[in-house]
Amino acid sequence: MANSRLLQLHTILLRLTQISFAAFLVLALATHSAHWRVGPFTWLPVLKLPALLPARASRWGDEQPMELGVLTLIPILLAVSWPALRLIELRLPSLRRRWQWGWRHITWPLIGLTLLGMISIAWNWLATGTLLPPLGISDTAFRFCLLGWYGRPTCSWSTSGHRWSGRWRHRRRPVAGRHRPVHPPVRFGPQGAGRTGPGSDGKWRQRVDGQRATLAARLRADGTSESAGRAAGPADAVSDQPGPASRRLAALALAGGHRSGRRRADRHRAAGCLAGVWSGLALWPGRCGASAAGERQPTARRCPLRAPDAGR
Amino acid sequence: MPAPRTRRRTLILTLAVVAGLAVVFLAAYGPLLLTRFFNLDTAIEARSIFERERDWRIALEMIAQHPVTGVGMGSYLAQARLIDPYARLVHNVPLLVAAELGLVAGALWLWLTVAPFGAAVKRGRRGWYPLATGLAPWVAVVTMGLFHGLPWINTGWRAAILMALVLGILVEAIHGSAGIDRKVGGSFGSMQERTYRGGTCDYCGVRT
Repeated sequence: MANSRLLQLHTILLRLTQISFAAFLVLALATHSAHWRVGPFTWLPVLKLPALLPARASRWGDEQPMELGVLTLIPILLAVSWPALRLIELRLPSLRRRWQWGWRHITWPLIGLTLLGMISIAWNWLATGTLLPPLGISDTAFRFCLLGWYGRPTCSWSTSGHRWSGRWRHRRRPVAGRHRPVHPPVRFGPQGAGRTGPGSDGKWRQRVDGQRATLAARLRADGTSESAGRAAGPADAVSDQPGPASRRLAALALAGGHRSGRRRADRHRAAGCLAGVWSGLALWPGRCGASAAGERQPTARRCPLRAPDAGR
Repeated sequence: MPAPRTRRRTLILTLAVVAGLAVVFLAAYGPLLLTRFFNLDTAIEARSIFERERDWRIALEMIAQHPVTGVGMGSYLAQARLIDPYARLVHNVPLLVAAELGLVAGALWLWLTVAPFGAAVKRGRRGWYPLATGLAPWVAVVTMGLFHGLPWINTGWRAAILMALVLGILVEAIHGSAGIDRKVGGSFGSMQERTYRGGTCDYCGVRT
């Protein structure tokens, strides 16, 4: 598909995703907690499920069946569109972004809590010996995904300004060839416009163009035409990194090709797929964790047991 | 950062709005609020205090019994009712997290709780002003978490959304105050070029 068509598709999908998420957020925050029984999430039902806990239904008011309305499908749209957006961005050089971790004092505790929670739920599920999926994981993963999504808004989604916090990666891979991270003062920008700093220096531009041409020729000789094409692209990156020229050229190749290696793209795709699977699990309707026999699993926690807290 | 005069005016305006809202709130819910602080011998308040203290004791007992692994995520109530059949979900998030996932998770939760305040302290006097928009709801959430289980993610998915929004505001404020990039036009998610002001973020180490 041509880049312009892809860009158009990306724009439409981006707006659709943003509107969907905003609608979901507003509805979620404005709806009763038993959202599968009353409120907008039950309008125009597409799926009707029996009461989750027949044994406790009369006591806790769970006798009503779950009605999943059209609006309940919004998370499915989000689960599809977010990875799709990411994949489209990988195909568009102007939109490619690097994955970056957010502020460590929020990211690390959240990662730790996520791992501990998932391990705990999975362990309970295995200990129970049931064949039903670990329903608790879906909720938990979805929630922590939400947190993860919002926990890194500024430093993570740096869009076309490819910034990179190279500290810990440098410590682990001080010289890693083509995977050596490129971080400012390497400067980026769409077609070199609007840049400041060393990148706006004409001499630097000429030098970088020359380096790019040399690198492109070298890569062509190696048969890596894709990387060569990227390296020969517009001089939108300027490096003042010290060190051997080869390392700088490799850095430029990475800059032009946005980590042109497939491993990075594969990792992005894997992350997208994982997020999609998690989000899909989040849609699993058995949110109360009831087994087929109507008994509680150890991970069940919400509907029946939270009821006594109401009004406390 | 705005000029001191503008800041003072904004502060006065904010305090006036908050005070006005407080007066309206007290007029409408004053008696209910007062029972929480003064009329502690009423039946409903005495019961509330008794149940909270009982649940805190139960949670501490469970933490002592399972300090490493906890009782399992979502399993708090089932386990607590083995100790006391009338037990309820403990109304204290740090205790709930530590009881369900162990002391390590409790420490991680405390880290998450304290980190924004640490960032504000690290920024010094000038750091509090830009972080106030994020710290104010964070203080509310943290305080609420000491007397209710709601902010713990496992108690409700809307709590997760609330936490995500508040944390998002905080991270944005923290990085914004650290002199990190500002977007030039466009809305969230748009692929706009960012301006560089140079320097390194004090918190995440991102160089710009």
